[in-house]
Amino acid sequence: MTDEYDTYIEQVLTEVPDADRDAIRVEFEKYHTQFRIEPEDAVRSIMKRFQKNDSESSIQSRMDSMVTSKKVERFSELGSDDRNITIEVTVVTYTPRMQKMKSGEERQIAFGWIEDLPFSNENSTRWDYKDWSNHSSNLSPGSIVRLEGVSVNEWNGKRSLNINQSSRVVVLQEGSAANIPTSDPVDLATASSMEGPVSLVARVVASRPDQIVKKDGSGTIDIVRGRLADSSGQMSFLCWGEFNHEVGSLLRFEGANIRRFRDTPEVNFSDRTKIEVFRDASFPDADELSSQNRAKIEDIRDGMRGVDITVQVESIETRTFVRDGEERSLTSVRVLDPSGRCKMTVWSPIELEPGQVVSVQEARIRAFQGTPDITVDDAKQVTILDESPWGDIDPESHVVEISLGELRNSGSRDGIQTEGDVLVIREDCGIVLRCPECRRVLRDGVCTEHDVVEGVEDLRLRFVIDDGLSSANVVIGRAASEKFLEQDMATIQSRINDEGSSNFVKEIKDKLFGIRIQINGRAIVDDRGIMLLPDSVLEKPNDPVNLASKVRETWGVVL
Amino acid sequence: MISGSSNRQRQPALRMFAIEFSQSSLPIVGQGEFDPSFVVSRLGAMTSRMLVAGVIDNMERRDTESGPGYRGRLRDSTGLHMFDVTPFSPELHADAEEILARFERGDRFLVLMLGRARHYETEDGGVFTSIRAEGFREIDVNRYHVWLARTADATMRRIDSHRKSRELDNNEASYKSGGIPSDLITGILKSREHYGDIDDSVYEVAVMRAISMSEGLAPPEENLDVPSVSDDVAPAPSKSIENLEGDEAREKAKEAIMQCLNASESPVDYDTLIRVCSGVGVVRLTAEEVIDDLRDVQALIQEPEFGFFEIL
Repeated sequence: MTDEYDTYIEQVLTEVPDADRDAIRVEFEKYHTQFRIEPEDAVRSIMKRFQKNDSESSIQSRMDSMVTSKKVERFSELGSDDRNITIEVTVVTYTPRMQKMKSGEERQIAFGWIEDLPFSNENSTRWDYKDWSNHSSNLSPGSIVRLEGVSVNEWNGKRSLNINQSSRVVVLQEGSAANIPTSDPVDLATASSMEGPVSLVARVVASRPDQIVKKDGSGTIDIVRGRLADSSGQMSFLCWGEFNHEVGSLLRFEGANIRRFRDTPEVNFSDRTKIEVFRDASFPDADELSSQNRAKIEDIRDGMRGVDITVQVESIETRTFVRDGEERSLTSVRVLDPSGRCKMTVWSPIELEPGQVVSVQEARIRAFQGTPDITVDDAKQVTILDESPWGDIDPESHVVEISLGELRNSGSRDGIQTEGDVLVIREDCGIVLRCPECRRVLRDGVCTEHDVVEGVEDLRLRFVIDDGLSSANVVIGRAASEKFLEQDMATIQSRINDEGSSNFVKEIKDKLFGIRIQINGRAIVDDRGIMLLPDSVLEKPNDPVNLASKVRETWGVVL
Repeated sequence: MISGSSNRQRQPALRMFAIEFSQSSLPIVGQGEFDPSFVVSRLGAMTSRMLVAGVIDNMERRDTESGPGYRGRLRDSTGLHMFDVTPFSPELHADAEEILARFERGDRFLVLMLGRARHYETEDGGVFTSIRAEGFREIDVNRYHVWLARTADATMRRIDSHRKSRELDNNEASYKSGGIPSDLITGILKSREHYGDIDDSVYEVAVMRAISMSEGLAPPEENLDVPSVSDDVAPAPSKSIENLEGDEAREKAKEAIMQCLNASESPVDYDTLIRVCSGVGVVRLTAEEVIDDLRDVQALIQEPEFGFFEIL
């Protein structure tokens, strides 16, 4: 048998006389067909390979597993570090999202569900997948595809498939819209922590037609907005199209989608959502469900609508402004309840007094600088109550003590007190220059918004505090920093001029690392974690004897 | 559901005794770009970052391929932590140098240390834990006692949850309804899968010791001997033997160490060797000298993993 490899095989045999001729041929074929390397380029590598007989088998098998694709029918045949897999699946869902990469750039990726055995009558298994390289056109829900060169990812014991840059997606059968993803319905509390497709059983507690104006000015879309409720909570919905169900109906939804508007989840229905009347006599009725809708300040989140809340007025400030030639008023009210403080903005004239307790209906929640505020469009939404449901709260002494862990699971709010150990002191503590226009910190004298400006000096400290269960970033402004360090800004400024800022940072590191501090102020909680903006900071000395006896009490430790 | 953002949050620093961390053998390496890695303890702590404290037990400079770094041991009331100050954190080197200098002068002092949990796997599948320092400072006894009390609290919380979990079905839903705190659910599930039934009494003894130290009392009598791999070759220290001195002690120690290493198939940890020596009446200081001598001068033993020894 002679072929194009023979000359090269002879070359290898001259160098490595005791090598097996057929094995060399197999090697050349592999280089040629699988690695796409011509025999003349492969000769040196193949010689080397046969000279090193000792490690041959292990290298061989590793190369084989890297190059040969593994073809399977079922997910159950896959191991946790299988790569280069070929499998045919049904695409159940495809949910794109933007993900920030380490480099800072944003990339569109997607996740969803796939099911194996698309052409079989056997029960198929469902897995999560992630699409890292935008195969959206080939992965539409309902279609049957062959995935080539995908890999298994195992995280926290759960396996999923990664569709990578080098993977190929071959569409075997186009998706049909009739294919609605089904899954067991979840309650609204569970749904609110999800994103993407979901099935629900819930009661409609509010519904009204609305319109969305297209951004490009090409017209409007009729939609229906409303609210669903079950015993676990409530959620706003948005229906793209007709919604012919009255307030009070109990419905089952399949193929609904959870999206996030700001910090608030919202369930979306499209023409692909299956909505049907559901019967369950034990499901709470509408009255019962809407009575739990009374929010507390700790519950409110940016983007919520239709919030009913009772608050105590702390102070009022009214401004008037002219818009469209008409004089209008804006009343900014500082309010509090037992769970915290926030601001309430009323966009129409209203008379209020400090100390009054008011009930607010159907308010919107908007965040200003990260803290959610109650927004009221019409003074009629506000009712002054004769009696406070919680007795009188003294605004002077009203703080809500909360641990970092509790804060982590609650919302942004003002008027809290929390504590933790200082574990990181950031290098940029000290004097910064701020833009006189927008107060942004300048970088090399340049404001990102206002270009080169004459900076205004300011003092700030940045820490990370931690209590063992959660951590928080702390940014301490000038007044609180001066008090905490017991030094004024001028002193710090002149010391930094003399000794350099790294000495200043080293000194506060030596002084503060590991100490416990107590913070009063405002908390911003988002998907990056907790940020604290303190009004005041103080060191909280701890007595080990007290702490130890508390541990004994809490856990019943007997010495 | 795939949660996109929660992994990007800073991992809290778990307060943990050396005994809990050093007995951990279940690493979980993060797969995605932002997924942190963890070492899961027997009590189910998902340890990524930790706040530890104790006395510096050893410290030395290490030259690595990436530059100079430091290695050391931190001893708390329950055992030893190995730690590294890596070449990649030069901002810590000045402080590390200072601690090293003081340690070499014979100063012994307490240190509070923040660090990331790391692990090494040996070829035969053993897992050793260590800490990559992110920050540290000297602390006084009062602050150490505060740390002991808080760490006792955190440890007790884990013991309590782990005990509760044994009455429950081993799944997330049943843990949730059974009152296991959300931060411990995943870890305890994994712990029970990997370690099976555990004996938590050693951790409870650690807690009791810490509490009595915090309260300024003498530690209770309980023995904190750790059942470890090398238990079968480590005779318990016998207090009846008089302390030996000088060359005689060194000979005794060498004999005991070589015997112990010969008898063991896997590397033996530092603590065990010290215990073996004290079993034949050789004090810690002498035993440490002998180990160093055997390793560096006589080259009869080697240290394949930091803190673990075998016959060369």
